[in-house]
Amino acid sequence: MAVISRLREVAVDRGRNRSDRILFGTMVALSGFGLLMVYSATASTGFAGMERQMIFVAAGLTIYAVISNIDYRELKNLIPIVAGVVVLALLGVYLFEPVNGAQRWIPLGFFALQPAEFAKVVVILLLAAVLSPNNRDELLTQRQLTWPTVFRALVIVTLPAALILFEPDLGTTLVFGFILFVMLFVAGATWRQMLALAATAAIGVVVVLQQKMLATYQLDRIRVLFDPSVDQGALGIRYNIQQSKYAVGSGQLFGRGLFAEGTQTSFEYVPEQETDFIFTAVAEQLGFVGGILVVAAFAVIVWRLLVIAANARDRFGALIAAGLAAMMVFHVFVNVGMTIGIMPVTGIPLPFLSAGGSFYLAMTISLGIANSIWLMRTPVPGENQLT
Amino acid sequence: MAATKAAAKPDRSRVRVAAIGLGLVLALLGLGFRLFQVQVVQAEELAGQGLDQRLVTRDLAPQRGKIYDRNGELLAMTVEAQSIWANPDQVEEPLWVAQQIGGLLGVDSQELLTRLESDRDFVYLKRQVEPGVAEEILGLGVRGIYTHPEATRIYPAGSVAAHVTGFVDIDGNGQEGLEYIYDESLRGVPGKAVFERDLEGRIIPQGMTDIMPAVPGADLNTTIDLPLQYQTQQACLSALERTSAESCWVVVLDVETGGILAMSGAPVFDPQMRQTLDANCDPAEDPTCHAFKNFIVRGVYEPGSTQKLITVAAALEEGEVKTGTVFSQVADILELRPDACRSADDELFGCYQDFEEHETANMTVAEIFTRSSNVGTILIADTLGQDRLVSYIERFGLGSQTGVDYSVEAPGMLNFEAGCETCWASAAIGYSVAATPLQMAAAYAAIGNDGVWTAPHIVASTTDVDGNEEVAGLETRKVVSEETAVLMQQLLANVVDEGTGQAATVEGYRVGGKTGTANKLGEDGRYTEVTRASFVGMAPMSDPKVVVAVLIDAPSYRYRTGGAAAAPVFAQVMEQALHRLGVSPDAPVG
Repeated sequence: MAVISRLREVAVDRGRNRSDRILFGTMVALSGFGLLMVYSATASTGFAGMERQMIFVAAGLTIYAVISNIDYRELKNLIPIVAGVVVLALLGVYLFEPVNGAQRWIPLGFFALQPAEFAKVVVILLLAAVLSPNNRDELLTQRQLTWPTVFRALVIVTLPAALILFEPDLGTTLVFGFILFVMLFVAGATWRQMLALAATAAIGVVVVLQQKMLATYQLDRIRVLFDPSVDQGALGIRYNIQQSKYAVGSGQLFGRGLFAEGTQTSFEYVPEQETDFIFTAVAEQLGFVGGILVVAAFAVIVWRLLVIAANARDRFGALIAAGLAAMMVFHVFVNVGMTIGIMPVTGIPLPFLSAGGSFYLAMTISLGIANSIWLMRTPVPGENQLT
Repeated sequence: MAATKAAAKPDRSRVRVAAIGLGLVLALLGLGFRLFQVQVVQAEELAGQGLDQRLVTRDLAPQRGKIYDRNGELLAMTVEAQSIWANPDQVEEPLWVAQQIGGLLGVDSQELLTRLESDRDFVYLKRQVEPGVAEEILGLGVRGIYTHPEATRIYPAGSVAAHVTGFVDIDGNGQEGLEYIYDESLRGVPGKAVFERDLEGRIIPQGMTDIMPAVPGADLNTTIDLPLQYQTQQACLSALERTSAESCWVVVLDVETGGILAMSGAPVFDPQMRQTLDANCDPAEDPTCHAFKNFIVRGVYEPGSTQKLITVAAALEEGEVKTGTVFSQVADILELRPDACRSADDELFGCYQDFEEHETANMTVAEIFTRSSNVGTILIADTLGQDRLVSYIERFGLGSQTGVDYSVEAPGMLNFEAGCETCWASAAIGYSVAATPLQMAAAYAAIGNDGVWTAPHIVASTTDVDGNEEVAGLETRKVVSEETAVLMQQLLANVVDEGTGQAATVEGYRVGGKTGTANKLGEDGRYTEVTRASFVGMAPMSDPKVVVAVLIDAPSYRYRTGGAAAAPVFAQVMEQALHRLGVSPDAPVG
């Protein structure tokens, strides 16, 4: 009963607002396209990859619908619990055997849960909560972020980021940095605070390097972009990048056609072609036209997220949407960038396209929250608008 | 208050969102630009590089042509075998494995163990084994042991035709004999398959492929008669036993066509087992080494008395003598240089003796030839002079290759150094010249063929994959007139009937031929007591069809003459040859 009455209140809050159809449409289009590409990329080895992904897509869209209809402000109360679960899960991965040298997953039978993917969303919520005013007094008295607030934000990000760094998953760790940077900026951090953050980040990098917390291969993946002498081995890092570039280049303007016409991707020259390197399959089979359309679709999502941020009813919502936009762009840029040799090879998947359960669900949850913010954008008469 | 401020100044938060938006969109634009570079600007190059690495070219091995005898019996063919290899990395207990399969493969297990413990990831354990053996080995289920099909050359006649076919190396390249000289025709033209393969090396079905099929090699149809070849080899093997000689070589020529009906020797070798042998092997290290170096085309020897055929034929042809011409007071010793015969050492230069002592007597040309008198023959040669003698020797084909289709034919040698006063005399009786058994056989065949010399050959025709037959042309030249040839045939018949070659008699046929016994040169350059005994002859004398040349190298002292060592082998082979060719007997009954 409580749930129903709550939903009724939400319905009242929403007024006549309708869902962000562009956001939803783009998400569904990308998801459907993702299924096609997963099928095409794995056609030579069977359909299992696509069938699994279909289940994730169905689950993801359902969760999207449910979360859309929950007032995102309710999430504030849930944050401490969810954050606790995520931290436990991040610690939990160390209980299991490494896969390909990394401990990132919690095997759940049907699929391997990757807590780091959900941690991104949770950290965005946490940061938004910390960086937005808690009450009317704060709103009126604090025109800008206080130093303690900035420090708290830093701590919130550092804890999960550190845990993930040791999985190891350098790419995901860096996502947190970028999200923090963007959200602090949107939250109104002063230039001094931004500089201090940058300085802290620099110190962090120096410490990580000094303490040799990065493995040689992680460093090589970065160095290989600049230094041609790194790893000339037959199946080494350079090999992956080279194969990926061959694939993307082979696509040329209009691509070589779907379903195994892309002989470079479909036949295992490019590794992880249905997950991290799915973009190579897109680019080889559908060419520059296909590739740029995918990038454009992400631009649409980012545009919608920023519109939502600008129109959110409160700072909390605006910060969430901005953080999600930052996360989205980081993923697209790093993922696509690595297939064309401008970003290091890291395990950063491409939203909605890469096969994989955890990340897909995290993405639909993200957009569900964004849609909720959109639905709630008009202030109910009598309530203060906190933007 | 908040409302008024917001109205006065655009909300700072919104400005910042817009700034972030600008930044994020710029990032995506940058990405798009880079994508354009890779997919449009550099696309061609990258696509080409990608294709290059996926494309592989495999040679498609053509089927090697077969070699047939004159009756269509197979002498050499190619079949599929299995080659056994290992990836030593994957072999868990090399010692155990080596012991297990060493016996099956017939390879020393210590040797196998060395290979199984090597650092490489591909080692052959044994190449080209029979499919059954390969199955047995795979049946052991040892990890890291694999097989792959590989063509192998087999010789159904075993060692019998080994001296004809020669052999190929393990990779199928001709190394000796017909396999070598006809390698290009037999080999065929390799095909090419170009295809895209995936990382595991499997063919990508949708990828581009370009296949140019291999053209199988041509088949060789030889003049060899396999049963006769077998008899010839048997005759040689028993001759070795009888005479304790080092080797025995026999060639059988078809007089009219120059086709080689049989060419064999002993000791023998298995052509299949010589696959790995270096053709330049050192006989001192490998005693069977010289077995496959076909002496008939490649070995040179001083023909000795068999040479006298040419000397006498030349004198008859030039009209210097007739068969009845009498040379008076022919002694058994001739001193061409003063005191040459006084020094026992100096036989070589200027002192000539007959093989057997005889009283000085008047002798006809016929008697000289029949009794093989060295002194008499030199007197006959003296009527010609050196120049004419040499020109006939060359006309009969000595000193140059016969042109036979066999690997590395020796041209032989005529030794007429300037200032050599006695060389002509030596040459007249078969010293100071070096000839191959085949050259001698061809010279005799010219007499048998009424004065027409025909180049000997082994392959009568080649048949390509489409069934087109290419017949080899015959090379002939007239060396003496028919009259001279017939006279010489009679003299040869006399030698067998009443002279030194009586052991060459073949029942039912009239046979002609000449013995030869030449002392071998020792390492110090002096002649030794060791001989090369030879016999070259023909039959039937009514119309010679077959020439057989026999050379027995270093028989025991008892069999040191051509008559004792070689003539019986000749008789044995000639009898078989006449039977195989279905030649009617021509000897008067009784």
